[in-house]
Amino acid sequence: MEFDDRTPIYVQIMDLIKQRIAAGELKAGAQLPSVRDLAQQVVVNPNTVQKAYLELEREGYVATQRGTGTFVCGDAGSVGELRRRLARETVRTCVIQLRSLGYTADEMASMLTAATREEE
Amino acid sequence: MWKLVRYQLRGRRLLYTIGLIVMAALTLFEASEFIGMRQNPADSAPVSIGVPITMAIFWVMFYGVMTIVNIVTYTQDLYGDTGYLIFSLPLRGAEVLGARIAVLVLDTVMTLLGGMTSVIVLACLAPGLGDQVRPVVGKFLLTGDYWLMCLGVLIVIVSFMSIMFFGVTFGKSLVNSRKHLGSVFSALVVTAVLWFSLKAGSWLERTFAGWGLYLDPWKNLPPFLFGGTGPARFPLVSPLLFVGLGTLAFVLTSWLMDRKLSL
Amino acid sequence: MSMIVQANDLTKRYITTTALSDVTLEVPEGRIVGLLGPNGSGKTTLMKILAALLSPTSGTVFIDGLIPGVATRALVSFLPDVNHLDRWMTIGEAGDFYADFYRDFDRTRFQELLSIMELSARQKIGSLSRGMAEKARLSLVFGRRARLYVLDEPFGGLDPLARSQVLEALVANFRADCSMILSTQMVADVERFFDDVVFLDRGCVVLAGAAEDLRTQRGTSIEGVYKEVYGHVEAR
Repeated sequence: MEFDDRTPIYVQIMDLIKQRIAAGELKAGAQLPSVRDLAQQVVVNPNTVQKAYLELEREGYVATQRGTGTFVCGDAGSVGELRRRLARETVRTCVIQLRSLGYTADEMASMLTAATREEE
Repeated sequence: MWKLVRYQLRGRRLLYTIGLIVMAALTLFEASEFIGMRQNPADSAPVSIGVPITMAIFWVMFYGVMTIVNIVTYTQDLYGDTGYLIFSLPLRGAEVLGARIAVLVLDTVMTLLGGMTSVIVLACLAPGLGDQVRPVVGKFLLTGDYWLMCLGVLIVIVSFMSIMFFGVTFGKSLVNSRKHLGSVFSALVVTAVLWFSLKAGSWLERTFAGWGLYLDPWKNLPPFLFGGTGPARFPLVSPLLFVGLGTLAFVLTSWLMDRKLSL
Repeated sequence: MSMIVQANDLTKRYITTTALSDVTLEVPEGRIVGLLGPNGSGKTTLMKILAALLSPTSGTVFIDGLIPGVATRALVSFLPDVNHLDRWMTIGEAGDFYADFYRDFDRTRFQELLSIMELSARQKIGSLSRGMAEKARLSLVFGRRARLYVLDEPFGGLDPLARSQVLEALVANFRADCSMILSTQMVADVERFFDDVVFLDRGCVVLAGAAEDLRTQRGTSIEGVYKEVYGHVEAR
């Protein structure tokens, strides 16, 4: 898997997992792969995966049960909240970039509609 | 340590095999010259002296080659890439060196046994020679003096090699990786030690002139092979000095390997 | 958490040069440490001292609490940057050699590594290409369940496919009770595996720290940090 080495890798792993949770690929109560398995899948230092899991636990997205594994916490409400937050962040980044290129709000809206239709 | 000995012997398989084949060929060749040897030893005296000497020369050369291979592979290990394999092993310096000394002793024993086998084989193939040799074979092999002399020679050879190993190792610890400079230092050290032992040995022999080993290793040999020449005086004090130096060299080399290794 | 490597003011001086100067280093267990720096910065010297192949001029170093010597060689699995095997040996025989002398050698693991690297035990070392020989030697080194793996340029001479095979093997063989120290010039490809990095220059440690911390602090990859460190140094 490709990583941007300029930002901490554990953050990127966390983002990846949050993405999956928000998209519903990882439902509440689902078990995350073991540290070792994920490290082997994405080919990265297992300590980095461990750190990502710890941070996710600290932020409340997952919970680790000793001996069993790491599980996704939360209910539909918090997942929805995460989903909204991630969407807002993506849109915000996009808007800032387009504005720096000089596009108006209307132009941005029509570009978004056109792009949505292309993706279908 | 013995595991290392086994591996080193395995690496010498080719050399041993070549030596064996050449020896067998030489023995057969000499035997062909002996086939026509008469029962009367007087007829064949001119031929018979040359045979054991040729054999002896061959065995000495074979031994020389094996010993040189021993010291050269040690130098290669110390200066070259394979050293990373040997010196990474969880073995003490004394064990690494001891393995090479053990191989040296084995080479010596093999050379000796090989030489004796050649003579016996020759004697079996040439009935005329066999008749002369057979009566003394048993007695000769039981001549304590002969084995004592061989043991003495073996100990001196081992001591000499210890000094050589010390020279090589010392040269390497001084100059790290520069092989030619290290070789120069090694040669200097070995020369110095040998010169010293020569001087000190001569002085000791003069001072302790009465001390010596009176042995007659040839007493049970047939007349055409030095038999009946009477006991000879073998030096005792200078070999002891040399052995002392060799032991010191072994100890120092082990210490250098354990404490001052610089691969 | 026990320290596998504890080095303090480690110095190695030769007649004409100083290879290491007051190097202080600590490696806890379960860490992968990247030793970075240009050629001649002292990386190989440091690794040889850890492997008990070289004795330091001054300073102290402890491997698992022991002074480098016969006992630590049984704990440390060293991969030199040259081919250290006899050319007449086959890969299998090299494995037997390791198994004979190192109690921590795991034959099953060795076989698994050989199959990941696509090597056969019957091949002679002398007949292998540079990359294949490198992979064979790595299989031997990782075939040991050592406390510390010290790897000098393990990725030199490997094509991208071989490199990823080796990295996969590295991750698969990672255990919490051992550590790895490795040096490489291919910083970009390997930096994601480093827990900690140590930058050496002319025998001194110029920068050390956790890889992720350095990424956060400097806002760039470890390769970027490398360029900063040595670009800055060259301008001196």
